[in-house]
Amino acid sequence: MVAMANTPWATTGVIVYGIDPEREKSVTEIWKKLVPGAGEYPDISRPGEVLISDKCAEILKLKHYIITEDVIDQLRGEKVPENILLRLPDLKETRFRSPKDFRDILKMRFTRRELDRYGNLIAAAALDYRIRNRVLLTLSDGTGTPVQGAFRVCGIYKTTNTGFDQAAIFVNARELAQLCGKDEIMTHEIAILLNDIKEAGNVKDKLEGISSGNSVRTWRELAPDAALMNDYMIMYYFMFIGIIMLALAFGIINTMLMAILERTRELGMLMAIGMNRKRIFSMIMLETIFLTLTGAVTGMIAGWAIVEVLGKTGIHFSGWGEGFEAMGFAARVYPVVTPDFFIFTTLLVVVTAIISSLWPARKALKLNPVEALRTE
Amino acid sequence: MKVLELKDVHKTYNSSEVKVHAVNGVTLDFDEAEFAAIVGPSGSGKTTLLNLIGGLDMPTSGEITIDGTDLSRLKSSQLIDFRMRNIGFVFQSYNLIPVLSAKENVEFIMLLQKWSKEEREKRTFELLKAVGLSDRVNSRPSKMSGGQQQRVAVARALASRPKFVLADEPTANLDSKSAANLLEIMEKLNHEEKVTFIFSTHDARVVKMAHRVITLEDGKVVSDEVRE
Repeated sequence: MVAMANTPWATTGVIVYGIDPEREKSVTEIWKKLVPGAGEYPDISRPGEVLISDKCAEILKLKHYIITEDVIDQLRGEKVPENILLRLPDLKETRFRSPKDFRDILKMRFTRRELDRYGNLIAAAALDYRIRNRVLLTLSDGTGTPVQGAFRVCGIYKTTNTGFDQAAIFVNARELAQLCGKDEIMTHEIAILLNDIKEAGNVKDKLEGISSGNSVRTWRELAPDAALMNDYMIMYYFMFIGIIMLALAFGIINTMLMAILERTRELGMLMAIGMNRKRIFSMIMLETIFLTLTGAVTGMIAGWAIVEVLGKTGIHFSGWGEGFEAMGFAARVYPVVTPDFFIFTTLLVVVTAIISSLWPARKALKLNPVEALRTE
Repeated sequence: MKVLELKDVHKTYNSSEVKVHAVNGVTLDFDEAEFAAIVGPSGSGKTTLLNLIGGLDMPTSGEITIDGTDLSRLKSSQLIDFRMRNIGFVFQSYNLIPVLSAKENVEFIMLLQKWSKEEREKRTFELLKAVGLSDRVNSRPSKMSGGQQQRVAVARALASRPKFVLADEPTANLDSKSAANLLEIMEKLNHEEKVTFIFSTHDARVVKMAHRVITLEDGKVVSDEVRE
């Protein structure tokens, strides 16, 4: 429901989602996106709770920064140099009501380089969400009459989608219904999380038959931009794979042609003493496949190790972070490689190797032993 | 019994308008356990003749019969198999497989012929002993001298008990001592294994040791002398 959220310092428009906190966990991942140390997930037993996002907290000026003795101790623990810490105490007990204010004051005190290194650490340590603060929600009930309810911030969440974060706040569905003067929970959306994303179309078709006029939509229809982006990603992925495989094929052809050129006399000798065409052909093929497999296994292990490390640390697109977030993608990307991707790639590499070894092997077959023996 | 017969064999190369008669009407035959040298100046057709005998090249006309089999009647796959079973090759530049040890190089052809492991090992050690390389069984070609490598090559040529061994200038890359040593070994094996050796050379000392000397000039046999 569209509503107006007020704090004594600011106002913003929001969309209020009335949820069943426990059942919500099974279809969305908001509960996993709570900012650590900043409150908790709403609980049905505690009345009047609202879960807002980091972005929303910032707009409502609930995201404060304050330097305390604890903060300085914590920074000392994280090995921030004393000369930096010495410049902090006079800020103590001043409450900065927005990240911008805090950043501005830091900018005045520290050099750019110091800020680059320690700015984020200081900001993270000094961050203080106003948990338990009151937020007043104003919305119109079924008849168009404005109604108002007071909620307390129980927790802060942060997803990678800034657009969503800015607007979405979560309250208990029953309380939202009561606020609107209804006894029953007003259900206007049923989310279904499928085990397999590919089944979305089928399930939609089946549900449409029994939906009695209610609209049924797949994630693609609800978020066409994300779907489009997803499709593009898959397309680019195949293009990249294609280009890489082409490079691989040329690499193999080049290596094997060189190997044959260098060993022309050896091949001539083998043919002379009685190695038949079938054997020569399979020898070249096997060599290629072993060569490729050795490379593939080494590459796979290296790739897996890199992905494992980056999966923990994430790749931070610092420069484009805001752009990424505006499109609903995280600025810090955690690469994940599934086993079937590994298998698929290995198969693709082996197939490419076999195909590209055909030409060198054919070339070896065409050698004339007499001429081959004569080469120096 | 004749192991090898050549009847009016011609080989003509058509290189850029000029016809080259590399082998021009050669008729020869070889008995079992002969030790024959083919001599002649460069360009006289020695190598071509050896290639024809070895079935590596086909004559333009004429007939080559090995042990009763006419080479021209064999299909190329049959010819390869025939070569493997009946002819041993020794090359001027040894041509051992660089990544294999002496033992494995000798064993290779028996492996192609699917000999059992015991048979292979027995034959390999027997031959390496005969060529005086029992102590270099596991050495790679790169760790051996030219003479040693050529002795491994001789052992390899004999591995599958061929009817005859063809050696194209086997001593050309060797010093005189190694050359003499190699020839002695070849002669000994010729005697012990009853294998015909046919080798081309223009090294006078090597010619001296041959039991039969065939002289070629411009692709024709100009003399065929048997010594006792």
